[in-house]
Amino acid sequence: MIFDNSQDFQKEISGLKNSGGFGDELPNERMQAVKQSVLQAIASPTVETQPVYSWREKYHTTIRYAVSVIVGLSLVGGTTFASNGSVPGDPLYGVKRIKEQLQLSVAFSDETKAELEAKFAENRLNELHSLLSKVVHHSEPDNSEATTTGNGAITSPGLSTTTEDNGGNKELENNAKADARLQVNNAIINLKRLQSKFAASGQTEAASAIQANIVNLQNKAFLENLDLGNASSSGDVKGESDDRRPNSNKGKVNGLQIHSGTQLNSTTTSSQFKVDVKIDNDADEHSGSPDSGD
Amino acid sequence: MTHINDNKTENRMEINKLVAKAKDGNSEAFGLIYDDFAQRIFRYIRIKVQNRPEAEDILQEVFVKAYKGLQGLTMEDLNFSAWLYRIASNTINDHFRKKYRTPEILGIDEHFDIASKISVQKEAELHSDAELVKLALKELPEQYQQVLELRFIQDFNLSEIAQILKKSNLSVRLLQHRALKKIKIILNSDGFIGKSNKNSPGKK
Repeated sequence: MIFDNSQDFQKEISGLKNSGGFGDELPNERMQAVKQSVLQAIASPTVETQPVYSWREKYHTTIRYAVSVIVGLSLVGGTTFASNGSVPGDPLYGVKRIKEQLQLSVAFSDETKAELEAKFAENRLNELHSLLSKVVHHSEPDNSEATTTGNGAITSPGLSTTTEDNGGNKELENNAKADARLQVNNAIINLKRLQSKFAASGQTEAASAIQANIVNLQNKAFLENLDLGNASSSGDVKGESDDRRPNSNKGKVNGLQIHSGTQLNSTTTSSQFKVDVKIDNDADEHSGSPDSGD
Repeated sequence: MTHINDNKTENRMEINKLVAKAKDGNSEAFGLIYDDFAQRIFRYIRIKVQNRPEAEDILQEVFVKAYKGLQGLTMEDLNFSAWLYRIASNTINDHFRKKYRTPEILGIDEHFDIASKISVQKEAELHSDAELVKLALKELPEQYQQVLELRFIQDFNLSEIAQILKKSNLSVRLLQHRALKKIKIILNSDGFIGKSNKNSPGKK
């Protein structure tokens, strides 16, 4: 078989083309099975997930720069991100959300996706808790969340306690609640789907573990006074060894409930670590190297 | 060539009609799009992804991503096929990036050793011409396989392939040239010469 140019090669492989190319084929049965999975996924209400909080529009300019940084840094084990402890209103919060989206986009199995969605839903609840805790008046700025901009000015976290900022804080709070509600509901829906899948295939231990995850999320939402609606809310408080019942608040300040039993995510930023994220043309964005915080 | 182009144009128009319906939320139309493309996208994925279950997962991911991306598509001058292959390329690359490993054969192998492929050549004795080419193609680096698949099986032009693989037109042209050169060497090597003669006894 001899050919001297691409036209000759075209002729030679015409037989191959008619038989369907030179990669391996998918048996029809498997093709239909994948098709069903695709159609199920696109029919799911979680497909067009858009957080109510408009962080995506606000931080869209970070996407181009943040992607290469985040993907590159993810190759380094043990790296912590300055954005990990951020909450809505913080300059790096958008980066945190972009990172979550990237992780979801490369997750391939249903199990990995459901696990990530549950983790991110829990992040929303923790952020909500953190946000609500900060509404309590402080006599000084919360330095654990302070970041340093390129020109050396210290910016305090998005919340302030002055009455003039209450409108903005309320909006943040409402957006964060709506965001948390959406993500928790989506996570629970997907966990339930996964639970059914495991139960149907006889993997009862895995199904029970997922049930525990679902209950955990529901409990956490309940403790944050987050009404999930009929879809996935549950008033049951079970499976928890610590005393996380409603009305077990450790204290109240100015009418706000403070849940001192809840562990928050806190992240220490390594001082050697630099986030080289160039954020373009947005006065609210952060650029340069954050100081270590938290 | 004109006839091929006419067919291609006609197919593209049919697909675009389905895409327009799918954009409006018609999942049946999207199902038809899947039926049209799934097999070829799967074969494309399998060039680089040896594990079949992983390839199926990636196939699913490609179509879910495609569905999600439909709203961002503009119908004018739409080349849906190239767009879908681009999603497939990106998803494959993401897969390897996620697994922190490189594809089994990296880039361009300038020192391709034909002498070590004795077993392939023995197998080649039993096959028809098309199967010979298929065997020979499997010996190429994956990038070459991709370009040849897209160019000669899926009939994409060089510009479209450049978009799909996110390379320049020149890079794609060079890849095609080198791929053809390599496969020519393989097919004309001792194990393959004479086996393409249809009159050889014992051939399937």
